[in-house]
Amino acid sequence: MFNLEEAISQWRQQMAGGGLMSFEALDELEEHLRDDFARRQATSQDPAEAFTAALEQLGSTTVLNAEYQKINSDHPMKPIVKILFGLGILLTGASVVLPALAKMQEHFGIPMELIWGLMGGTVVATSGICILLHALVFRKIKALA
Amino acid sequence: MYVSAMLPRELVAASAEPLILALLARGENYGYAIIQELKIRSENRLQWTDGMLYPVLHRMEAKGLLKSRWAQRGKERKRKYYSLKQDGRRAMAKHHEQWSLVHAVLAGLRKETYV
Repeated sequence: MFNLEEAISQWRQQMAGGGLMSFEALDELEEHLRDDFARRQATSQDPAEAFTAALEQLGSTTVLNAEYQKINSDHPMKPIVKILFGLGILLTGASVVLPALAKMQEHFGIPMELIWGLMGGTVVATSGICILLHALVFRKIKALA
Repeated sequence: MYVSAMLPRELVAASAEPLILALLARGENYGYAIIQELKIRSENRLQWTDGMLYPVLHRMEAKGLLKSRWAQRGKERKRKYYSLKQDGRRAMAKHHEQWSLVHAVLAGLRKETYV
């Protein structure tokens, strides 16, 4: 006995397994599948056959996943995401380094000038790491295209 | 973009964006309805592999031509509706101009051939 919910659940698992991880993209494709299944059923097609035909018309998991991955490589990172990415790394670095510097100053009586110098160096070093990571991420994504 | 089209693959692919823009200029719509409308209007000569429409829509959205929202109308299921943005209207006008030019040149040449 054909079970639509079970069939859809299996199809979603196949899609997710093939690399289409976006729930929203899957939801949208599922809605399409349900619409097409309903239209085919209305013409009194056997449910299992109707679902198979709807799946075929929707396209194979491999082809769809490949096409969705192309979009991601077309638009790897929007400028605002790049800025937030950089800021995130800077803040993470600062939240680790600054308390450590404050403790060093407190315990060892290191002059403030040196502390400021170390902080400046940290910002420069973190920015460098950020640029490097950014370049690596881009190369990785372009390699997938 | 299609399985066994009456129209060649390249033409179906090239016409996807202008057709989607022109269809959405009539009002917001969702993927399945867009495909059905295009099939009816082309008398099934524009054959798509349905799922391939969505990457096209997403790409157009990323380009700033479209916007989308999930909405539920009446007793229908929740669906993702697409509509034109200002840039989409401009792109549609440009497509229209370009396709009209191709059509005019082609029609002119054909007319001369048969005169």
